[in-house]
Amino acid sequence: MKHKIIFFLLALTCISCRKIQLDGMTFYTVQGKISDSFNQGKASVGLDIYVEKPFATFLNANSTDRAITASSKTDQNGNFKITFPKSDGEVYLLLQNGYGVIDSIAINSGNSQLIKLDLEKLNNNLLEINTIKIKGL
Amino acid sequence: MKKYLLMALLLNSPFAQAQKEAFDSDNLSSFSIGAGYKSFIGNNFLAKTYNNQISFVYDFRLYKKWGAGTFYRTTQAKPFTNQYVGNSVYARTTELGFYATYYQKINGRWLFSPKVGFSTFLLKNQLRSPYQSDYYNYFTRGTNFFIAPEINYFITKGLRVFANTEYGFINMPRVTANKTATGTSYNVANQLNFGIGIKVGF
Repeated sequence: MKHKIIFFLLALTCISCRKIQLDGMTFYTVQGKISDSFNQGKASVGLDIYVEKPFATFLNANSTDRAITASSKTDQNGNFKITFPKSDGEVYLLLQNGYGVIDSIAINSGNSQLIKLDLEKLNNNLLEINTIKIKGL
Repeated sequence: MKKYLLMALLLNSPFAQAQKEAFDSDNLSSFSIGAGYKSFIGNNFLAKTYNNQISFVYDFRLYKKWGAGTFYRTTQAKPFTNQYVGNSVYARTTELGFYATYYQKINGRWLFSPKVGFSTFLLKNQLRSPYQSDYYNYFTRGTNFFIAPEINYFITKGLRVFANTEYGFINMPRVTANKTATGTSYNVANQLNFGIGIKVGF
């Protein structure tokens, strides 16, 4: 009986720790510019804030919880600004519409649509990033 | 003769009795339920994100000439933009508070009862994952100081209807965001609530 209770409590703990936790008391803003290979701003490019959190279960040691916490589009000059709640996962900017990054910005391994956001560089909850050059995939 | 009979009937009618007893009674303790129409106002993320909402309130008060009460109010809203709080698809606010009140009989069956109070303010946003059938809640907390003039009408001695207007000052000092980048405040907001309901006295 004692073992059953411990197992049940462990299972509950795993369920709660696997989920991405969002903090409604802290909101971050990321802003920057999306351009093509000729440095022309790209309008109406869809962007998501993509959060990923690895976790392990008894059955699978390499599971990942994923969520899109905010979405936006670039304006006519290619500028964008997205505000999203703080989370306990890795945060990426996800390019929509079949675009991928073509310059040297750090991207998630094997996926040029994902640009990792370095939240250590936040200044007063604002992250300003360099121009991102993209191309159609 | 008919005239006197009609007068006697009117004076002994339940409504006349209710009016008389309402005026005689000093004990106006009550429990009430009501609905309202709430909107956030001002340059803040609440006003810029959420539509006007229907609110529901449960209220309990103890009365003599002065009174005190406690209430619980909940509202549901759908964000009309994801610009300030992310991809929330559903939001709910709950307030749990207390207040001081005073009553002033006006005439007939009318009673004026202004309130001043304080409550917690909790905003729950819910985000759904496109990857799995899961959802994520995130909470924004603050406090609310409010003033609320209220008018009551006695249907019978123990039953009243009421209407009120409440203006609240929401304070969320622990919320952090970049005000320059977002162009709005995350720390202070105002809310206006028009409420009606029914009150049972005891």
